[in-house]
Amino acid sequence: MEPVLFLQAVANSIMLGLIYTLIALGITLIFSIMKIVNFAHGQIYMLGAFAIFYFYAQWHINYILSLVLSALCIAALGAVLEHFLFRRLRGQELPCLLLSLGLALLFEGLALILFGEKDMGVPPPFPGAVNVLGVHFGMDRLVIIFLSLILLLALFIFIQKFKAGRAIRALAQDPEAATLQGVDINRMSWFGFSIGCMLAGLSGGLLVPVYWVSPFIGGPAVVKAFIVMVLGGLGSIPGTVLGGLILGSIESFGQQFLPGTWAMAIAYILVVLMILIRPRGLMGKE
Amino acid sequence: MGSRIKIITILLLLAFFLLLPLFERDPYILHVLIEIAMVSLPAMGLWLILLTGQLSFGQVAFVAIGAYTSCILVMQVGMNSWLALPLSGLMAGLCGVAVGYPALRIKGTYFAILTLSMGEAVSMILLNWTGLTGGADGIFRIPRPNALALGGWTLVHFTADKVAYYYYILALLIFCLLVMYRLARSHVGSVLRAINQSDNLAESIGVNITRYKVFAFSIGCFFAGLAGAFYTHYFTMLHPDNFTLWDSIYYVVYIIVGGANYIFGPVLGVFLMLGTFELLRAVKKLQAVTYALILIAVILFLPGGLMNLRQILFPSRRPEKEGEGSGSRTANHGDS
Amino acid sequence: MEILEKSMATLEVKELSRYFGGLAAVSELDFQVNEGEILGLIGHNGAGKTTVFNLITGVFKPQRGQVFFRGREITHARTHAIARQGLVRTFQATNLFKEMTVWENLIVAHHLHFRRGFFGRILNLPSVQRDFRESRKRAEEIIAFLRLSELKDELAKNLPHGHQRALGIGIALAAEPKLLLLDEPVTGMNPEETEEMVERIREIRGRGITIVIIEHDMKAVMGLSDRIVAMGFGRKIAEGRPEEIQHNQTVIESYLGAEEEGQT
Repeated sequence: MEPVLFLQAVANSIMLGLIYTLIALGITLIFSIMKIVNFAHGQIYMLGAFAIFYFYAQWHINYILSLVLSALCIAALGAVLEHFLFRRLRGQELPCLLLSLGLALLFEGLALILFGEKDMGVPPPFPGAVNVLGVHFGMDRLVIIFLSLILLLALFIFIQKFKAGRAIRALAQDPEAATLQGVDINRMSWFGFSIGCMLAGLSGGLLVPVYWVSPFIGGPAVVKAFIVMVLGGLGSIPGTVLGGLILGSIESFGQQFLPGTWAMAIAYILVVLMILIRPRGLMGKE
Repeated sequence: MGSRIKIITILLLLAFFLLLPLFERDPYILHVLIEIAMVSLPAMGLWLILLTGQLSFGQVAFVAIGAYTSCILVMQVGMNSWLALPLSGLMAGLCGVAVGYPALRIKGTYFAILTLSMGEAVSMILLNWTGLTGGADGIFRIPRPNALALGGWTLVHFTADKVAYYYYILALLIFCLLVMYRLARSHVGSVLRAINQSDNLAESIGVNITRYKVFAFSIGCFFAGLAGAFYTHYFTMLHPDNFTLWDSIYYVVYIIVGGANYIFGPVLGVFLMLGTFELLRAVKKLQAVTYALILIAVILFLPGGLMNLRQILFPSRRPEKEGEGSGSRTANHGDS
Repeated sequence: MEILEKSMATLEVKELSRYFGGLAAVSELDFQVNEGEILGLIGHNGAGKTTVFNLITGVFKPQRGQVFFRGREITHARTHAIARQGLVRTFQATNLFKEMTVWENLIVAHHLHFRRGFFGRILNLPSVQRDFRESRKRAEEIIAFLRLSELKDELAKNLPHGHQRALGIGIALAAEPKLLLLDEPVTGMNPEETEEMVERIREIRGRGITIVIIEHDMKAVMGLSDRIVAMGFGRKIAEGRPEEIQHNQTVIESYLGAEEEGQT
């Protein structure tokens, strides 16, 4: 394989990998706190992408500011969903699962009605390319990598240093002990859910410039989040990053070597095998 | 009491639907009814799978397997479509066994993710295995079902006319309902119910849980396969995009709406929901949103309705009573 | 069917061990149960008694040691296969088919004795109908035996506690075991019910079924058992006749010790 293509594929892998990691972290976060798998995560990612479309492409708000605004909106949405819907079903695995599926269907259906079926793009916020070692890397991709890394770092610091973050970690590891120590499970639930959704929304917003947005991008996104989650292992941040990078690489390099979308097929088969053979993933804790 | 009324109702309904094409000639109406019957089959299959407490989100994959199997058997092997029908169902059923044995040991959410991924995997494979499936181009001009002939006399011709298809799918539907009925009432059905209510108790008295779950699963897949085979020769074209994850989820919605307690539940659910949307084309756009709202509403406000997902087959004979007087209980419950 | 030598124990447990994390739930457990006897298994809360049942019946895999049932090794066998050989257990927490009636519970529990496979039973072949008649006979017997006749058509979840426990034993009996492991059969019952149940257990033994019983109710277990194995913190700390065990210092201390650690 030509070195140029190779390096670009690497860059693409990292970019996709980080984004998938972010989405997966959102799902993992929600799962750790509330013990539910949020099947609507993909559609929330899609809503984040549409938010950017409107803020940035339609209303010409600065891209970074748009990201912030969309993050806030999506976080608010998450809080509302948790407070009014998920809270009522706390602890019931099957109903929560079906509820999140219902929401996924609802969001996609609404998006179809409101935004139409077509794929839409946005003008590149960071045009141009950078030349490294004679290889062209799109500026936009580099920015995505950069912003994703910042987000990851912020998340990491939050979990480690901030009170709320530590509370979330405690809740994830041992809910009973955490409550005894004064962690307010209600507050942490909606907070955690908000952050989880926010991560999904931001991921959507970050990818819009290099791909496109349509109501249909939610489905594949959430399945990819599952792939990362299952590969890397629940509850493990390094595992999730690893899983994200693996998936990003499969997709990126797969596109080079395999025809069509065989890469994705392989990824799905990988998930199936993982769940059967090693449900806790490569680095999972459970 | 209920028995005789039930039988009469069923016979009346049967007569009604058998005679329908005589007085209803609108091909669109027939088409809607055909679609309802066709979609009911995998929904009923899912109902069977649900009997053992496993919720699968990959059911549509087995419809696809049945569809493509029949297509290949008829178009490339030159088989008679009537032979291809049971073989397609069988193929789907066997795939169900292959998937089921490892997968059914897993429960709950992981099983949901597993079946979801599996469904998507099948979808992707169908999309990419162009040699077999024509990939993104799809397959067209699939032959209609072979004419049914008996000793030189052609009894039924399959043309663009819907009536023949109507009776074909009706026959399939009745067949599957009978199988479900027999299964549910048999000893096997009781054991399936028992597994659903307490699998470790069932195990402790000698039930091989995995074998039962795989059995129910594969019959469910068999139904889906039959539906797929019908689909192929009815629409005469196939494309991987026709079999999406949402279809798998819709089956769940149909079961919930129609009542997870009853054998007729899935059919009823499909009839009510799909029927509404197909007939009211104007509101077709709202289909997804409506399904979603109904699903959400049922989950939030009818937890009993969802509980029924776990206690299937026959409705409880008595309404739930308050716990009987605890006069003979000591203060310590003893469930240490 | 094997011919059982009189000297062969019905159940033999050798060096049975199981660890969770770093903790020994059961450690180097050795004991035997002879045909027709009632063996009591006692110990403080958390001593590992139910874990022993779980290990014997294949719910947990032993990490060390072996289990033999009527001469055959069942250490790594699966639960349903073990039940098929005649070893059945009841559960500490009430475990019933809650949405079925008492009658239905007992019919289903006779599952092992249906000879036909799936399709034969779905078609309800004559041999299946014969098996059903057998099951119905057996269910009638068990219902009469456990004095549940009036509650025959009650849903299991609506039964009062004592009757639920009785049904649990009925379900195990329907499987026609040769060895019955009873996990706290009288816990939570008042003195009258306890006495009834103790009588029933004696009658079960009278029909030739060997029994191992876990119980906290000392009066019941001492009265019923021919021999007792006492456990403490996963190990066997004493074995012998009830009279001996009652005065065994180590046993008494283990209960007290466990109490101090907040386990009783």
